[in-house]
Amino acid sequence: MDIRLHPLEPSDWNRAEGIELEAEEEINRINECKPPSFVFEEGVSKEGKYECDLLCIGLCGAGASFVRSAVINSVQVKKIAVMHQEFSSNRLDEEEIHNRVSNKTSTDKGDCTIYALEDPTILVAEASQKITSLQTFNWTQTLIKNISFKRLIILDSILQSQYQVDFEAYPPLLRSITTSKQQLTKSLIPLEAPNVVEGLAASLLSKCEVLSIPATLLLSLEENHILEGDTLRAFESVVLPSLKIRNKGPIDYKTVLAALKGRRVNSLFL
Amino acid sequence: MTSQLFVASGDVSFENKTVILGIPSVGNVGQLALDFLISSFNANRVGIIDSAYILPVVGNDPYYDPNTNTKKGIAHTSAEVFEIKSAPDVLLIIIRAPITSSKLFATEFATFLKESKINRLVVLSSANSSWRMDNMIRGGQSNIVVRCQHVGTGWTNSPILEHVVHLDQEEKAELDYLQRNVNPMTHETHSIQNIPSLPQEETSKQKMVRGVGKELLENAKDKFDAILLLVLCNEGDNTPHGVHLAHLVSLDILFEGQVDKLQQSNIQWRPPSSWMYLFGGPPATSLY
Repeated sequence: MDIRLHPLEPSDWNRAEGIELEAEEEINRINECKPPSFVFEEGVSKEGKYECDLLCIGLCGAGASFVRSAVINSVQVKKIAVMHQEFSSNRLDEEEIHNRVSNKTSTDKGDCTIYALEDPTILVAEASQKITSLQTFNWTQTLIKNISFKRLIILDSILQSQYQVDFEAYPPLLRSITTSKQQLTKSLIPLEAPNVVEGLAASLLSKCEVLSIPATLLLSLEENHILEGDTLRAFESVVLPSLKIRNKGPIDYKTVLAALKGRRVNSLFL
Repeated sequence: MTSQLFVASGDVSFENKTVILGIPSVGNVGQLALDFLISSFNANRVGIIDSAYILPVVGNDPYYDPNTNTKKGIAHTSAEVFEIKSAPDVLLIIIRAPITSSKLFATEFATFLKESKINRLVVLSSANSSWRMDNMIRGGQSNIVVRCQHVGTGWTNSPILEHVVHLDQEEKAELDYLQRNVNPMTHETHSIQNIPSLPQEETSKQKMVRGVGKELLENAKDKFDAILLLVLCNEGDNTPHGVHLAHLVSLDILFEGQVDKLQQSNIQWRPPSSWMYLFGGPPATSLY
Protein backbone atom coordinates (compact mmCIF):
# COMPACT_ATOMS: atom_id res chain seq x y z
CA MET A 1 0.00 0.00 0.00
CA ASP A 2 1.39 3.35 -1.01
CA ILE A 3 1.38 5.81 1.87
CA ARG A 4 1.90 9.40 0.94
CA LEU A 5 2.27 12.08 3.55
CA HIS A 6 0.76 15.40 2.59
CA PRO A 7 0.90 18.58 4.62
CA LEU A 8 -2.54 19.24 6.00
CA GLU A 9 -4.12 22.39 4.65
CA PRO A 10 -6.85 23.99 6.71
CA SER A 11 -10.04 24.28 4.69
CA ASP A 12 -11.19 27.75 3.75
CA TRP A 13 -13.89 27.97 6.41
CA ASN A 14 -11.82 26.44 9.20
CA ARG A 15 -8.52 28.13 8.53
CA ALA A 16 -6.94 29.09 11.83
CA GLU A 17 -6.70 32.71 12.66
CA GLY A 18 -3.45 34.24 11.51
CA ILE A 19 -2.65 31.54 8.98
CA GLU A 20 -2.87 33.21 5.61
CA LEU A 21 -1.74 31.97 2.28
CA GLU A 22 0.46 34.13 0.14
CA ALA A 23 -1.37 35.81 -2.72
CA GLU A 24 0.37 33.58 -5.24
CA GLU A 25 -0.60 30.43 -3.32
CA GLU A 26 -4.22 31.56 -3.23
CA ILE A 27 -4.22 32.13 -6.99
CA ASN A 28 -2.58 28.75 -7.61
CA ARG A 29 -5.26 27.01 -5.56
CA ILE A 30 -7.97 28.71 -7.57
CA ASN A 31 -6.30 27.89 -10.88
CA GLU A 32 -6.10 24.21 -9.86
CA CYS A 33 -9.89 24.09 -9.83
CA LYS A 34 -10.85 23.33 -13.38
CA PRO A 35 -14.48 23.61 -14.45
CA PRO A 36 -16.25 20.23 -14.66
CA SER A 37 -16.85 18.54 -17.95
CA PHE A 38 -20.42 18.31 -19.19
CA VAL A 39 -21.34 15.62 -21.71
CA PHE A 40 -24.79 15.18 -23.21
CA GLU A 41 -25.98 11.78 -24.33
CA GLU A 42 -26.17 11.43 -28.06
CA GLY A 43 -29.08 13.21 -29.67
CA VAL A 44 -30.21 14.97 -26.52
CA SER A 45 -29.22 18.62 -26.62
CA LYS A 46 -30.33 21.22 -29.10
CA GLU A 47 -27.53 23.66 -29.86
CA GLY A 48 -25.56 22.54 -26.80
CA LYS A 49 -28.26 23.41 -24.24
CA TYR A 50 -31.21 21.51 -22.79
CA GLU A 51 -34.31 23.45 -21.79
CA CYS A 52 -36.63 22.28 -19.06
CA ASP A 53 -39.27 23.62 -16.71
CA LEU A 54 -38.06 22.02 -13.51
CA LEU A 55 -34.68 20.68 -12.41
CA CYS A 56 -34.42 18.78 -9.13
CA ILE A 57 -30.86 18.17 -7.88
CA GLY A 58 -30.10 15.77 -5.08
CA LEU A 59 -26.76 16.66 -3.54
CA CYS A 60 -24.22 14.25 -2.12
CA GLY A 61 -25.58 12.37 0.86
CA ALA A 62 -29.29 12.56 1.67
CA GLY A 63 -30.31 14.44 -1.46
CA ALA A 64 -28.63 12.11 -3.93
CA SER A 65 -29.81 9.05 -1.97
CA PHE A 66 -33.41 10.24 -2.15
CA VAL A 67 -33.19 10.89 -5.89
CA ARG A 68 -31.71 7.44 -6.43
CA SER A 69 -34.26 5.62 -4.27
CA ALA A 70 -37.47 7.53 -4.94
CA VAL A 71 -36.97 8.49 -8.57
CA ILE A 72 -34.27 6.64 -10.51
CA ASN A 73 -34.97 3.22 -8.96
CA SER A 74 -38.74 3.72 -8.93
CA VAL A 75 -39.87 5.27 -12.19
CA GLN A 76 -38.78 5.28 -15.76
CA VAL A 77 -35.99 7.76 -16.43
CA LYS A 78 -33.79 8.56 -19.37
CA LYS A 79 -30.16 9.54 -18.88
CA ILE A 80 -29.43 12.76 -20.70
CA ALA A 81 -26.09 14.09 -19.43
CA VAL A 82 -23.16 13.59 -17.09
CA MET A 83 -21.12 16.23 -15.28
CA HIS A 84 -17.72 15.17 -14.05
CA GLN A 85 -15.53 17.18 -11.70
CA GLU A 86 -11.88 16.30 -11.34
CA PHE A 87 -10.39 16.88 -7.95
CA SER A 88 -6.84 17.88 -7.18
CA SER A 89 -4.72 15.03 -5.89
CA ASN A 90 -2.63 17.39 -3.77
CA ARG A 91 -5.35 18.47 -1.38
CA LEU A 92 -6.23 16.58 1.75
CA ASP A 93 -9.32 18.36 3.00
CA GLU A 94 -12.49 16.66 4.14
CA GLU A 95 -14.32 16.76 0.83
CA GLU A 96 -11.42 15.25 -1.08
CA ILE A 97 -11.10 12.41 1.43
CA HIS A 98 -14.80 11.69 1.00
CA ASN A 99 -14.49 11.63 -2.79
CA ARG A 100 -11.49 9.32 -2.85
CA VAL A 101 -13.02 6.76 -0.53
CA SER A 102 -16.44 6.87 -2.16
CA ASN A 103 -15.04 6.62 -5.68
CA LYS A 104 -13.19 3.46 -4.77
CA THR A 105 -16.39 1.61 -3.97
CA SER A 106 -18.77 3.33 -6.34
CA THR A 107 -19.62 1.58 -9.57
CA ASP A 108 -21.12 4.73 -10.99
CA LYS A 109 -18.28 6.92 -12.14
CA GLY A 110 -20.65 9.68 -13.32
CA ASP A 111 -20.32 12.28 -10.61
CA CYS A 112 -23.52 14.13 -11.43
CA THR A 113 -25.88 12.26 -13.69
CA ILE A 114 -28.91 14.05 -15.07
CA TYR A 115 -32.06 12.19 -16.04
CA ALA A 116 -35.29 13.20 -17.72
CA LEU A 117 -38.58 11.82 -16.41
CA GLU A 118 -41.47 10.67 -18.55
CA ASP A 119 -42.30 14.34 -18.86
CA PRO A 120 -39.15 15.56 -20.63
CA THR A 121 -39.55 19.05 -19.17
CA ILE A 122 -38.77 17.68 -15.69
CA LEU A 123 -35.19 16.69 -14.94
CA VAL A 124 -33.60 15.11 -11.88
CA ALA A 125 -29.90 15.10 -11.10
CA GLU A 126 -28.01 12.79 -8.77
CA ALA A 127 -24.90 14.67 -7.64
CA SER A 128 -23.07 11.93 -5.79
CA GLN A 129 -19.71 13.67 -5.58
CA LYS A 130 -19.00 16.18 -2.82
CA ILE A 131 -17.91 19.38 -4.51
CA THR A 132 -15.30 21.40 -2.63
CA SER A 133 -15.96 25.02 -1.71
CA LEU A 134 -13.50 26.30 -4.29
CA GLN A 135 -15.15 24.27 -7.05
CA THR A 136 -18.74 25.33 -6.42
CA PHE A 137 -18.69 28.50 -8.51
CA ASN A 138 -17.39 26.78 -11.65
CA TRP A 139 -19.70 23.80 -11.10
CA THR A 140 -22.74 26.03 -10.88
CA GLN A 141 -21.70 28.06 -13.90
CA THR A 142 -21.25 24.88 -15.97
CA LEU A 143 -24.66 23.54 -15.00
CA ILE A 144 -26.42 26.77 -15.87
CA LYS A 145 -24.55 27.06 -19.13
CA ASN A 146 -25.78 23.65 -20.28
CA ILE A 147 -29.21 23.29 -18.67
CA SER A 148 -31.78 26.06 -18.88
CA PHE A 149 -34.45 25.67 -16.20
CA LYS A 150 -37.38 27.79 -15.10
CA ARG A 151 -37.45 26.41 -11.58
CA LEU A 152 -34.92 24.62 -9.37
CA ILE A 153 -35.31 22.34 -6.36
CA ILE A 154 -32.17 21.44 -4.42
CA LEU A 155 -32.18 18.55 -1.97
CA ASP A 156 -29.63 18.56 0.82
CA SER A 157 -29.40 17.85 4.52
CA ILE A 158 -28.39 19.60 7.71
CA LEU A 159 -26.66 17.74 10.52
CA GLN A 160 -28.45 17.55 13.84
CA SER A 161 -25.38 18.79 15.68
CA GLN A 162 -25.19 21.89 13.49
CA TYR A 163 -28.89 22.75 13.61
CA GLN A 164 -29.36 25.60 16.10
CA VAL A 165 -32.87 26.01 17.44
CA ASP A 166 -34.50 26.36 20.81
CA PHE A 167 -36.14 22.93 20.68
CA GLU A 168 -34.82 19.39 20.32
CA ALA A 169 -35.13 18.33 16.73
CA TYR A 170 -35.17 14.82 15.30
CA PRO A 171 -35.75 13.45 11.81
CA PRO A 172 -38.01 13.57 9.88
CA LEU A 173 -37.78 17.35 9.80
CA LEU A 174 -37.74 19.51 6.69
CA ARG A 175 -36.76 23.14 6.33
CA SER A 176 -36.42 25.40 3.31
CA ILE A 177 -34.60 28.40 1.91
CA THR A 178 -36.11 30.01 -1.18
CA THR A 179 -35.13 32.75 -3.58
CA SER A 180 -37.14 35.95 -3.66
CA LYS A 181 -38.82 34.91 -6.93
CA GLN A 182 -40.12 31.66 -5.42
CA GLN A 183 -43.51 31.91 -3.78
CA LEU A 184 -43.51 30.63 -0.25
CA THR A 185 -45.99 27.88 0.50
CA LYS A 186 -47.49 27.15 3.90
CA SER A 187 -46.24 23.58 3.77
CA LEU A 188 -42.61 24.71 3.78
CA ILE A 189 -41.11 26.02 6.99
CA PRO A 190 -38.20 28.43 6.43
CA LEU A 191 -34.86 27.47 7.95
CA GLU A 192 -34.55 29.38 11.20
CA ALA A 193 -31.85 32.01 11.74
CA PRO A 194 -28.92 31.81 12.47
CA ASN A 195 -28.57 28.49 10.65
CA VAL A 196 -26.74 28.84 7.36
CA VAL A 197 -25.96 26.57 4.45
CA GLU A 198 -22.67 26.57 2.58
CA GLY A 199 -21.12 24.66 -0.29
CA LEU A 200 -22.80 23.62 -3.51
CA ALA A 201 -26.35 24.10 -2.21
CA ALA A 202 -25.55 27.69 -1.30
CA SER A 203 -23.83 28.31 -4.60
CA LEU A 204 -26.81 27.05 -6.62
CA LEU A 205 -29.35 29.01 -4.60
CA SER A 206 -27.26 32.20 -4.69
CA LYS A 207 -26.90 31.95 -8.46
CA CYS A 208 -30.66 31.53 -8.82
CA GLU A 209 -31.18 34.63 -6.69
CA VAL A 210 -28.77 36.54 -8.94
CA LEU A 211 -30.54 35.31 -12.09
CA SER A 212 -34.03 35.80 -10.59
CA ILE A 213 -34.94 32.12 -10.99
CA PRO A 214 -37.47 30.63 -8.56
CA ALA A 215 -35.56 28.08 -6.49
CA THR A 216 -36.10 26.12 -3.31
CA LEU A 217 -33.46 24.48 -1.17
CA LEU A 218 -34.93 21.68 0.94
CA LEU A 219 -32.94 20.61 3.97
CA SER A 220 -33.75 17.42 5.79
CA LEU A 221 -32.43 16.93 9.29
CA GLU A 222 -29.80 14.19 9.38
CA GLU A 223 -28.46 12.40 12.43
CA ASN A 224 -24.73 12.72 12.82
CA HIS A 225 -23.76 9.09 13.07
CA ILE A 226 -25.70 7.63 10.15
CA LEU A 227 -28.01 8.54 7.32
CA GLU A 228 -31.38 6.95 7.96
CA GLY A 229 -34.62 6.43 6.11
CA ASP A 230 -36.47 9.07 8.13
CA THR A 231 -34.19 11.76 6.71
CA LEU A 232 -35.03 10.70 3.18
CA ARG A 233 -38.74 10.25 3.89
CA ALA A 234 -38.98 13.90 4.87
CA PHE A 235 -38.55 14.88 1.21
CA GLU A 236 -41.43 12.74 -0.09
CA SER A 237 -44.42 14.94 0.60
CA VAL A 238 -42.87 17.98 -1.09
CA VAL A 239 -40.68 16.61 -3.86
CA LEU A 240 -42.77 13.78 -5.34
CA PRO A 241 -45.79 15.97 -6.17
CA SER A 242 -43.46 18.59 -7.71
CA LEU A 243 -41.98 15.87 -9.93
CA LYS A 244 -45.49 14.60 -10.74
CA ILE A 245 -44.61 11.16 -9.38
CA ARG A 246 -47.46 9.24 -7.81
CA ASN A 247 -46.58 7.54 -4.57
CA LYS A 248 -47.28 3.85 -5.20
CA GLY A 249 -46.41 2.66 -1.73
CA PRO A 250 -43.45 2.70 0.66
CA ILE A 251 -40.21 3.58 -1.09
CA ASP A 252 -37.27 1.25 -0.60
CA TYR A 253 -34.41 3.28 0.87
CA LYS A 254 -32.59 0.31 2.42
CA THR A 255 -30.73 -0.69 -0.71
CA VAL A 256 -29.20 2.73 -1.27
CA LEU A 257 -28.51 3.31 2.43
CA ALA A 258 -26.81 -0.06 2.75
CA ALA A 259 -24.48 0.84 -0.12
CA LEU A 260 -23.68 4.13 1.60
CA LYS A 261 -22.89 2.54 4.96
CA GLY A 262 -19.50 1.33 3.88
CA ARG A 263 -18.64 4.65 2.28
CA ARG A 264 -19.69 7.12 4.96
CA VAL A 265 -16.60 9.06 5.90
CA ASN A 266 -17.94 12.40 7.07
CA SER A 267 -16.27 12.03 10.42
CA LEU A 268 -13.44 9.77 9.38
CA PHE A 269 -10.04 11.39 9.55
CA LEU A 270 -7.34 9.44 7.75
CA MET B 1 -17.51 44.15 -15.21
CA THR B 2 -20.07 46.27 -13.36
CA SER B 3 -23.04 44.17 -14.45
CA GLN B 4 -21.31 40.89 -13.61
CA LEU B 5 -20.16 41.69 -10.09
CA PHE B 6 -23.12 43.66 -8.79
CA VAL B 7 -26.73 42.62 -9.34
CA ALA B 8 -29.17 45.31 -8.29
CA SER B 9 -32.61 44.49 -6.94
CA GLY B 10 -33.85 48.00 -7.43
CA ASP B 11 -32.86 51.44 -8.59
CA VAL B 12 -29.46 51.99 -7.02
CA SER B 13 -26.39 53.98 -7.99
CA PHE B 14 -22.89 53.95 -6.51
CA GLU B 15 -21.97 57.31 -8.01
CA ASN B 16 -20.59 59.81 -5.49
CA LYS B 17 -21.47 57.51 -2.63
CA THR B 18 -19.40 56.52 0.39
CA VAL B 19 -19.15 52.75 0.45
CA ILE B 20 -18.69 51.11 3.83
CA LEU B 21 -17.41 47.55 3.40
CA GLY B 22 -17.13 44.92 6.12
CA ILE B 23 -14.63 42.19 5.29
CA PRO B 24 -13.84 38.84 6.95
CA SER B 25 -11.14 39.28 9.56
CA VAL B 26 -10.13 38.30 13.09
CA GLY B 27 -13.34 37.71 14.99
CA ASN B 28 -15.39 38.83 11.97
CA VAL B 29 -15.46 42.31 13.46
CA GLY B 30 -16.13 43.97 10.09
CA GLN B 31 -19.16 41.75 9.55
CA LEU B 32 -20.41 42.31 13.08
CA ALA B 33 -20.14 46.09 12.63
CA LEU B 34 -22.11 45.98 9.38
CA ASP B 35 -24.72 43.65 10.86
CA PHE B 36 -25.18 46.09 13.71
CA LEU B 37 -25.54 49.07 11.37
CA ILE B 38 -27.98 47.25 9.09
CA SER B 39 -30.11 46.09 11.98
CA SER B 40 -30.10 49.33 13.97
CA PHE B 41 -30.91 51.59 11.02
CA ASN B 42 -33.34 49.20 9.25
CA ALA B 43 -31.24 49.21 6.11
CA ASN B 44 -32.80 47.81 2.92
CA ARG B 45 -31.07 45.37 0.66
CA VAL B 46 -30.55 46.88 -2.78
CA GLY B 47 -28.35 44.29 -4.46
CA ILE B 48 -26.09 41.27 -4.34
CA ILE B 49 -22.37 40.96 -5.03
CA ASP B 50 -21.78 37.91 -7.22
CA SER B 51 -18.07 37.14 -7.13
CA ALA B 52 -16.22 33.94 -7.93
CA TYR B 53 -13.83 34.71 -5.05
CA ILE B 54 -16.33 34.76 -2.19
CA LEU B 55 -17.38 31.38 -0.84
CA PRO B 56 -21.13 30.81 -1.04
CA VAL B 57 -23.38 30.86 2.00
CA VAL B 58 -27.14 31.34 2.38
CA GLY B 59 -29.43 31.72 5.34
CA ASN B 60 -32.82 33.12 6.24
CA ASP B 61 -33.84 36.22 8.11
CA PRO B 62 -30.66 37.47 9.78
CA TYR B 63 -32.39 40.79 10.57
CA TYR B 64 -35.88 39.55 11.35
CA ASP B 65 -37.65 41.81 13.84
CA PRO B 66 -40.95 40.51 15.23
CA ASN B 67 -41.86 44.04 16.32
CA THR B 68 -41.99 45.27 12.75
CA ASN B 69 -43.76 42.12 11.47
CA THR B 70 -41.11 41.58 8.80
CA LYS B 71 -41.97 38.67 6.55
CA LYS B 72 -40.10 35.48 7.38
CA GLY B 73 -38.24 33.34 4.88
CA ILE B 74 -36.12 36.06 3.25
CA ALA B 75 -32.90 34.45 2.05
CA HIS B 76 -29.59 36.28 2.25
CA THR B 77 -26.37 35.45 0.46
CA SER B 78 -22.68 35.82 1.16
CA ALA B 79 -22.22 39.41 -0.06
CA GLU B 80 -24.95 42.02 -0.19
CA VAL B 81 -25.44 45.77 -0.59
CA PHE B 82 -27.69 47.80 1.69
CA GLU B 83 -28.83 51.38 1.86
CA ILE B 84 -30.10 53.46 4.79
CA LYS B 85 -32.89 55.87 3.96
CA SER B 86 -31.68 58.47 6.45
CA ALA B 87 -28.15 58.37 4.99
CA PRO B 88 -28.68 58.48 1.21
CA ASP B 89 -25.01 59.15 0.40
CA VAL B 90 -23.83 55.90 1.93
CA LEU B 91 -24.01 52.28 0.80
CA LEU B 92 -23.20 49.36 3.08
CA ILE B 93 -21.61 46.18 1.71
CA ILE B 94 -21.36 43.15 3.96
CA ILE B 95 -19.27 40.08 3.11
CA ARG B 96 -20.25 37.09 5.22
CA ALA B 97 -17.92 34.40 3.89
CA PRO B 98 -14.18 33.88 3.42
CA ILE B 99 -12.55 35.33 0.35
CA THR B 100 -10.58 32.73 -1.57
CA SER B 101 -8.12 35.15 -3.18
CA SER B 102 -7.48 38.56 -1.65
CA LYS B 103 -5.58 39.80 -4.70
CA LEU B 104 -8.07 38.70 -7.34
CA PHE B 105 -11.08 39.86 -5.35
CA ALA B 106 -9.54 43.24 -4.57
CA THR B 107 -8.67 43.81 -8.23
CA GLU B 108 -12.17 42.87 -9.37
CA PHE B 109 -13.87 44.89 -6.66
CA ALA B 110 -11.70 48.00 -7.01
CA THR B 111 -12.31 48.03 -10.75
CA PHE B 112 -16.04 47.80 -10.14
CA LEU B 113 -15.95 50.67 -7.63
CA LYS B 114 -13.90 52.82 -9.98
CA GLU B 115 -16.30 52.21 -12.87
CA SER B 116 -19.18 53.02 -10.53
CA LYS B 117 -17.52 56.37 -9.67
CA ILE B 118 -17.82 56.13 -5.92
CA ASN B 119 -16.69 58.97 -3.69
CA ARG B 120 -14.73 56.97 -1.15
CA LEU B 121 -14.35 53.52 0.38
CA VAL B 122 -14.27 52.75 4.10
CA VAL B 123 -13.18 49.22 4.95
CA LEU B 124 -14.04 47.87 8.39
CA SER B 125 -11.82 45.08 9.59
CA SER B 126 -9.74 43.87 12.49
CA ALA B 127 -6.23 42.73 13.23
CA ASN B 128 -4.76 40.48 15.83
CA SER B 129 -3.96 42.41 18.97
CA SER B 130 -0.64 40.58 19.32
CA TRP B 131 0.69 42.96 16.68
CA ARG B 132 0.11 46.04 18.81
CA MET B 133 2.97 48.43 19.09
CA ASP B 134 4.28 48.90 22.60
CA ASN B 135 2.87 52.39 22.86
CA MET B 136 -0.61 50.85 22.43
CA ILE B 137 -0.23 48.53 25.39
CA ARG B 138 -0.94 51.32 27.81
CA GLY B 139 -4.36 52.26 29.05
CA GLY B 140 -7.66 50.68 28.08
CA GLN B 141 -7.29 47.70 25.77
CA SER B 142 -10.86 47.04 24.82
CA ASN B 143 -11.33 49.33 21.85
CA ILE B 144 -8.13 50.21 20.11
CA VAL B 145 -8.79 51.19 16.52
CA VAL B 146 -6.09 51.96 14.04
CA ARG B 147 -6.39 53.69 10.73
CA CYS B 148 -4.49 53.08 7.57
CA GLN B 149 -5.38 55.67 4.99
CA HIS B 150 -4.39 55.50 1.38
CA VAL B 151 -5.37 58.88 0.06
CA GLY B 152 -5.75 61.44 2.79
CA THR B 153 -8.61 63.58 1.70
CA GLY B 154 -11.66 64.69 3.51
CA TRP B 155 -10.80 63.27 6.89
CA THR B 156 -8.09 65.57 8.12
CA ASN B 157 -10.37 67.37 10.52
CA SER B 158 -12.84 64.57 11.08
CA PRO B 159 -13.60 63.62 14.68
CA ILE B 160 -12.84 60.02 13.74
CA LEU B 161 -9.15 60.84 14.10
CA GLU B 162 -9.59 61.48 17.79
CA HIS B 163 -10.48 57.84 18.35
CA VAL B 164 -7.66 56.20 16.51
CA VAL B 165 -3.98 55.68 16.68
CA HIS B 166 -2.39 56.43 13.35
CA LEU B 167 -0.16 53.84 11.84
CA ASP B 168 1.02 56.37 9.29
CA GLN B 169 2.60 58.61 11.86
CA GLU B 170 6.21 58.14 12.65
CA GLU B 171 6.55 57.34 16.30
CA LYS B 172 9.51 56.11 18.14
CA ALA B 173 8.63 53.12 20.18
CA GLU B 174 10.52 50.70 22.33
CA LEU B 175 11.59 47.44 20.78
CA ASP B 176 11.19 45.33 23.89
CA TYR B 177 8.49 43.13 22.29
CA LEU B 178 11.15 41.76 20.00
CA GLN B 179 12.88 40.25 23.00
CA ARG B 180 10.03 37.79 23.56
CA ASN B 181 11.04 34.35 22.41
CA VAL B 182 7.88 33.06 20.87
CA ASN B 183 5.10 34.68 18.95
CA PRO B 184 1.96 32.92 20.20
CA MET B 185 0.17 33.17 16.83
CA THR B 186 2.77 32.09 14.34
CA HIS B 187 5.09 30.15 16.62
CA GLU B 188 8.03 31.93 15.10
CA THR B 189 11.03 32.48 17.25
CA HIS B 190 12.09 36.08 17.48
CA SER B 191 15.36 37.41 18.60
CA ILE B 192 16.98 40.74 17.94
CA GLN B 193 19.61 39.14 15.73
CA ASN B 194 17.03 37.45 13.45
CA ILE B 195 14.77 40.43 12.85
CA PRO B 196 15.72 42.57 9.87
CA SER B 197 16.49 46.14 10.87
CA LEU B 198 13.20 47.73 9.81
CA PRO B 199 11.57 50.53 11.76
CA GLN B 200 9.18 48.97 14.23
CA GLU B 201 6.22 50.94 12.90
CA GLU B 202 6.83 49.44 9.45
CA THR B 203 6.93 45.89 10.84
CA SER B 204 3.74 46.39 12.79
CA LYS B 205 2.03 47.93 9.79
CA GLN B 206 2.99 44.95 7.63
CA LYS B 207 1.52 42.58 10.16
CA MET B 208 -1.67 44.47 10.86
CA VAL B 209 -2.51 45.57 7.34
CA ARG B 210 -2.70 42.35 5.37
CA GLY B 211 -4.98 40.20 3.30
CA VAL B 212 -8.04 41.73 1.69
CA GLY B 213 -7.68 45.06 3.49
CA LYS B 214 -4.15 45.55 2.23
CA GLU B 215 -5.03 44.53 -1.34
CA LEU B 216 -8.02 46.87 -1.40
CA LEU B 217 -5.92 49.81 -0.27
CA GLU B 218 -3.28 49.07 -2.88
CA ASN B 219 -5.86 48.67 -5.63
CA ALA B 220 -7.52 51.92 -4.61
CA LYS B 221 -4.40 53.91 -5.47
CA ASP B 222 -5.17 56.56 -8.10
CA LYS B 223 -8.76 55.33 -8.31
CA PHE B 224 -10.65 56.58 -5.25
CA ASP B 225 -10.11 57.55 -1.62
CA ALA B 226 -9.89 54.62 0.72
CA ILE B 227 -9.52 54.19 4.44
CA LEU B 228 -9.07 50.98 6.42
CA LEU B 229 -10.22 50.89 10.02
CA LEU B 230 -8.88 48.03 12.11
CA VAL B 231 -9.94 47.02 15.58
CA LEU B 232 -7.15 45.27 17.42
CA CYS B 233 -8.60 42.24 19.14
CA ASN B 234 -8.36 38.51 19.70
CA GLU B 235 -10.94 36.02 18.55
CA GLY B 236 -13.67 35.42 21.12
CA ASP B 237 -16.77 37.44 21.91
CA ASN B 238 -16.14 40.23 19.44
CA THR B 239 -19.58 41.79 19.52
CA PRO B 240 -18.34 44.76 21.61
CA HIS B 241 -15.66 45.39 18.98
CA GLY B 242 -18.20 45.30 16.19
CA VAL B 243 -20.53 47.61 18.05
CA HIS B 244 -17.70 50.04 18.77
CA LEU B 245 -16.68 50.15 15.13
CA ALA B 246 -20.29 50.62 14.03
CA HIS B 247 -20.74 53.46 16.48
CA LEU B 248 -17.54 55.10 15.27
CA VAL B 249 -18.62 54.88 11.65
CA SER B 250 -22.11 56.15 12.27
CA LEU B 251 -20.85 59.21 14.10
CA ASP B 252 -18.33 60.27 11.47
CA ILE B 253 -19.49 58.87 8.17
CA LEU B 254 -23.14 57.88 8.15
CA PHE B 255 -24.24 61.08 9.77
CA GLU B 256 -21.28 63.30 8.94
CA GLY B 257 -21.95 66.84 10.12
CA GLN B 258 -24.96 65.75 12.12
CA VAL B 259 -23.22 64.41 15.20
CA ASP B 260 -25.17 66.62 17.55
CA LYS B 261 -28.46 65.52 16.09
CA LEU B 262 -27.43 61.89 16.39
CA GLN B 263 -26.53 62.22 20.01
CA GLN B 264 -29.80 63.90 20.78
CA SER B 265 -31.91 61.53 18.77
CA ASN B 266 -33.51 58.47 20.20
CA ILE B 267 -31.55 55.92 18.17
CA GLN B 268 -32.07 52.43 19.53
CA TRP B 269 -28.94 50.39 18.92
CA ARG B 270 -30.29 46.95 18.10
CA PRO B 271 -28.29 43.78 17.45
CA PRO B 272 -29.67 41.54 14.69
CA SER B 273 -31.75 38.55 15.71
CA SER B 274 -29.17 36.25 14.11
CA TRP B 275 -26.76 37.04 16.98
CA MET B 276 -29.03 35.10 19.31
CA TYR B 277 -27.10 31.84 19.01
CA LEU B 278 -23.70 33.31 18.17
CA PHE B 279 -22.02 30.82 20.48
CA GLY B 280 -24.31 27.88 19.86
CA GLY B 281 -27.84 26.97 20.77
CA PRO B 282 -29.18 25.94 24.17
CA PRO B 283 -27.88 22.60 25.50
CA ALA B 284 -29.88 19.49 24.68
CA THR B 285 -32.07 18.56 27.63
CA SER B 286 -31.60 14.89 26.76
CA LEU B 287 -28.12 15.21 28.22
CA TYR B 288 -29.54 15.47 31.72
